[in-house]
Amino acid sequence: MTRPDPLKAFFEAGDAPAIDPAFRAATMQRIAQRRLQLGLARAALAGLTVFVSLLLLRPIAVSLALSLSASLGEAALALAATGLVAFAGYYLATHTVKWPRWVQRLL
Amino acid sequence: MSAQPTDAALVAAARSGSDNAFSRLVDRHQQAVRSFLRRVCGHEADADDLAQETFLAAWTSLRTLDKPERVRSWLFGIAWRRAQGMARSMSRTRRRETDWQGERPEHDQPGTELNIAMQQALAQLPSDQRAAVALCLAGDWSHADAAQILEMPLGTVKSHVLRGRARLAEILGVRDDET
Repeated sequence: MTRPDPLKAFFEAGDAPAIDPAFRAATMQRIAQRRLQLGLARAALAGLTVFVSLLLLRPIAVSLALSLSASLGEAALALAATGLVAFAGYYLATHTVKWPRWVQRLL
Repeated sequence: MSAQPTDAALVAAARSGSDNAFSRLVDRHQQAVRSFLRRVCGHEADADDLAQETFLAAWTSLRTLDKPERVRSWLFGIAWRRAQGMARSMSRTRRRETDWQGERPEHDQPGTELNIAMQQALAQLPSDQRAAVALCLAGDWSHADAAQILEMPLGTVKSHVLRGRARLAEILGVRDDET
């Protein structure tokens, strides 16, 4: 039979509690804070990257917009006209003609 | 009766984002880690703060853990490195706080008589020796495991444990046949 270790009683007196919900809660709270900090840091980094990218691309974007402005205007006008015609056609087709049910479902 | 999940299973769940799994790991290992740090630091509040930092560091670097089944020794390794890193600044602060605590009435000291006696005895050991004693005598770690945790040669750990034990027995006035 082995004799009990005389130092063991001294060591056991200094043991932390086996169950400590307060310690667990405090630890998990610090983890939640760290997660939030990491999320904010990632969002800030992404925002900074977008901002710097836009800043670097600004001269190219400005010259592109100026050179294309005339043709873009015409294209926008054509697009608006096409949209208007399409909408009018759709309205006429759905409100003036009595279509069979299966066609109505498609519309 | 449902079987308790293994450490490896809890680590896997925590890695995939389960806070519940990580909090169970904290529950499972907090006593051992905190007790070790209390013996190494000699101050409960600082030790508990270090223990929280240890778990926080573990959560941050959980993906780097190679052997999830050995999570406890990994946690002890983190705890020991943190304790070493803070030792210098803590000792400066503690010196000031210890001066102040000397003026407190005796009954105001936290812990039992045995605990106070042990803390005072441990404080007289060098930090490496204290850590080896805390692991192998108080924590029941093998010399080999302790050597791995403390990143020391096996022979050094054995020598620290032997000398530390003899010194503690002498300070505490305990008759120790093993030395």
